[in-house]
Amino acid sequence: MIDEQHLPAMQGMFPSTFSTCSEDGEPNTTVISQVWYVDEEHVALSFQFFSKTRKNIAENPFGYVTITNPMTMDMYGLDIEFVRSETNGDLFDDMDMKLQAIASMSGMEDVFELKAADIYKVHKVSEIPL
Amino acid sequence: MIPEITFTVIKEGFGHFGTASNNKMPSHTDTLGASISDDKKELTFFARKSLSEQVLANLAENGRATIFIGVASHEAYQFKGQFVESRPLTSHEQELSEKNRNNFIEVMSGFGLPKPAIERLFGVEPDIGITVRVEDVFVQTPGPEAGKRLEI
Repeated sequence: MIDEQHLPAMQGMFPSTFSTCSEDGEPNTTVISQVWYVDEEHVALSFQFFSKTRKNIAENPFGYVTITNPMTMDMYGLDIEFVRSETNGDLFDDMDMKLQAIASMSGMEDVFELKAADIYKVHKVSEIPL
Repeated sequence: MIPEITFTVIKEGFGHFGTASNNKMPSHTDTLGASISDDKKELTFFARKSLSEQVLANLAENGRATIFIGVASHEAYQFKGQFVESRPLTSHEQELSEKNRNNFIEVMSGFGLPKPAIERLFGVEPDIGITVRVEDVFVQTPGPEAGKRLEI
């Protein structure tokens, strides 16, 4: 599902957009620093702030996230479903380190903090034809 | 009324227009600028129809809209409201979009991204306006104020 062509869009160079929906049908859209490759059927999203996104995912596990290759602007839409959160381990440590690097580059060291690595199953990847 | 503090970000920011279907599956599209209605109660977001099919389908059945707009400094706002209409853009709105897109191309080029790539999205004129009656505005700038509802 996720293959070689999608990986440059998952390096955290270009922010990703993440949409969720509450139980009563109210959508929410936000920007996240990085969509992390876990394996060809799973991605991890950084959980940094207690937010509407987090509340929506607790009510309705389905989300839609777009990723962008910064060198070509090739864009992909991923239909995803929340599986679990990880608060320690190799994946969490890798994401935390990368997030701190992104925070440092953008002057947000005191603001960005990884609370969990949220793992999602990828149901579908679609190319967005520009 | 939409708070004046958000006007610069509305005009200069990069936006993402989110919706959901009746079976609660979310979708979004990128926006290429926006205009503010004279009564300051509605926003019209400029988009490309070819990239907005699912969003327009969702709006037709659910009607709820959420739009995240941010600028490079990380200042950002979330607008929530009810879909009003989709329509062709006026020539004034096309001018606003051109200004917005040129600004974004400059900002992204400054980060070292290749201009021809950025122009694949931001070099193309939008061909649809999606109007929303704004009901809520939230601060989305990362930090202690994030999530705060602004008075409208």
